[in-house]
Amino acid sequence: MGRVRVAVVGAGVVGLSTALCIAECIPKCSVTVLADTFSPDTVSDGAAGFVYVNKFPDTPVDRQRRWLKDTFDHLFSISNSSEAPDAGVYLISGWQVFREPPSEKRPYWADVVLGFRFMSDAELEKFPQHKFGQAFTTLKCECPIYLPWLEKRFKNADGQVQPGRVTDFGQLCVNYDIIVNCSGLGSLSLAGDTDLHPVRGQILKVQAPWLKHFIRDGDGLTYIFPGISSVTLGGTRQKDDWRLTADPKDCSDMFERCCALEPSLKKSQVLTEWVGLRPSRGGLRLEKEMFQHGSRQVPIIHNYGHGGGGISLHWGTALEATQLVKECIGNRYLASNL
Amino acid sequence: MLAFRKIWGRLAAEEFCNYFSVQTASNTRKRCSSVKGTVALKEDMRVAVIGAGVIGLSSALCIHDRYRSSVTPLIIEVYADQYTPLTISDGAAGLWQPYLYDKGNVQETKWNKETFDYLLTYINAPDSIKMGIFTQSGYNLFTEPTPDPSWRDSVLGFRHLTPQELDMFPGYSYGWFNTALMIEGKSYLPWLMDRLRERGVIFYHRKIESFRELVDSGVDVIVNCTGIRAGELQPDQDLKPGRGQILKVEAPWLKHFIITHDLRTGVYTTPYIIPGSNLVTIGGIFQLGNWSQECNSQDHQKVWESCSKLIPSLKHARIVDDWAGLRPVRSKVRLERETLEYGAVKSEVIHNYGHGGFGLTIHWGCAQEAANLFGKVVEEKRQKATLRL
Repeated sequence: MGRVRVAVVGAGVVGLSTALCIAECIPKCSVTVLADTFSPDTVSDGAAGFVYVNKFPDTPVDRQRRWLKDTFDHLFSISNSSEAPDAGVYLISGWQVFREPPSEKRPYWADVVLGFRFMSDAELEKFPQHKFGQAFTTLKCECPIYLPWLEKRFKNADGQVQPGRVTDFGQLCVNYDIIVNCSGLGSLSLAGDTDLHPVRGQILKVQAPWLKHFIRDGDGLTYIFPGISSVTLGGTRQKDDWRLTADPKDCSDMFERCCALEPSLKKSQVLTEWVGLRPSRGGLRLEKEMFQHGSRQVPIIHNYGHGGGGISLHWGTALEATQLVKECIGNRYLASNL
Repeated sequence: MLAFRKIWGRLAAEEFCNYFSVQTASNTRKRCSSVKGTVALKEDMRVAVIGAGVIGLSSALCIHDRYRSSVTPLIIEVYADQYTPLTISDGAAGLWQPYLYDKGNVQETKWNKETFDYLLTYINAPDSIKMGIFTQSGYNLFTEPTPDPSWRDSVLGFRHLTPQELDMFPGYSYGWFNTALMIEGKSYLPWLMDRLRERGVIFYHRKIESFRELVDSGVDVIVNCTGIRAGELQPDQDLKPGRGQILKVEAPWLKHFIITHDLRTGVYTTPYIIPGSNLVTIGGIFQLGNWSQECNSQDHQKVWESCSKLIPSLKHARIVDDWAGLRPVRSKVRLERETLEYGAVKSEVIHNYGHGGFGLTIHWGCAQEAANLFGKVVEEKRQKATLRL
């Protein structure tokens, strides 16, 4: 059997990491990434990159936890190495604060992050509007640095990159044996997935180098994530909102909310604003589908619908997608088609 | 300088203030009067603070804050040959963290805590960034289990490190995590000077050669905040330099302080990494008795290699600056009164020096104690005056 030709659709954090994983773990694969958008223009690039995730209602918790843990462990080892600044990965501590104590005080990811504990009364004094809080240390992964780093590693593993829009899977079946679909919101048209919908997120980037901690309101709407060269303030969660231009009202509203959490932000300088559409779905779609192309059946591994958890779950889902690719090769679907 | 010499003779407070257009609570003398059984006296107090590091400036501020209403006029002057950004307070990384154990010196633990609590009240205030105050969390690392420090209840969220966290630091098997405060001298000292200028405190760019020189000019109280050079005004065998050398590097991905410890070799002798608001300070030099303020390449290498070993990502950091400074080390802080007599002339000195590597950490507690001692001087003066009436 010759080389197995794998097409990975999408070059955001999910696409590149999945492609890299396959290229490094399955030597007999020759992997090509096909996408019309690359860093720094992908949705992943604008995301704060904070490793933390809300629950997907339609995905079993232990499966989500495993994806999160695999991603955390992978990024953790990068953060401790000399490559950390090249990859844009580093450790950050901080607080998640709640106006009212949540029903689940200790979430499923509490033992994945480092040093998880409840905030003391003395710590909560900094947040007079909030009655309960969690303190922990997690990772931050900045895609404008991480994606080029992944791409470099991918090319070192003989990966190929082909710019260009993929409009239907059929066009890939001619030249590829397996398709891995990491097209995020693109799967709405590409896979005809009506479960998929955008959740619009707008953020501000400000200059506030004295901020060392993240602060996240438990409602998920207000957050402050210090980055390497700027601080990300957010945000919005607007379901089915396709607007890609910044809304000044959203800007001023989120700035005010963030200043209420961290008053020193009033002294910060606003650098830029950005909008991204989270590719959201009730459950993350990570599964194999057999695509009928003429007389052939071509396996498609779907890996999309990460919502706001793309960075937080990317490596875990890449590993699982790679496993599915391995199984395809093992199951000799290809042997029967060659 | 000549103009200054003119006013050394004991000027009436009013003339002094008018000369310098200094605003005081009142430029007129209060007459002796009796108010509800207490005696309000005309009492001008001329206070000279020697030293403009964090200790000198904060002592001046504390004394002025507490006594400006009850002592009128209260004239405070600061004398120093070095002001921000050239003081040792400016070079320090600015992390609030005392030495591990006070060895029974509970006063110092109290002063440290008072400083932390005081700075914390400013954390959400509009001036916090101007003051150079912000929170930072981080790690203290050891090679063996170590008793909790004297300041464990002063900081926020103190806890022991988990095994997973310790995995990040090969060679270290035990440690703590806590949230502390940063107080950057390069911002804090200018802020203190602004507050003092608003209150009419006058700054003299001049080295004081002796206490006598100030006493002769009519100073009532001297506050001696001369740090490592206190010995030049009055010999002190206990005061020694604890030379430190640091590097400032660009490593904005680092968001935690990391302090290693070797209980055998002592404080500041092993690598530490302290991110600031702009650059990261890395260090790990403590040389008792070394008076050199020059950077040397051996110490530079030692700091660079040991810190890069601790945090490999530092290899990518650009080195921006080198600096060496002398910590004013003493077995304990000298914070006490002394009466100086030169013939018929008497003056009070409040000594406030010898804060080692924890000047910023302890400054406010000491300033308050200095103000307490000043209050006693004022009280004694009043009692004497009452007896004279």
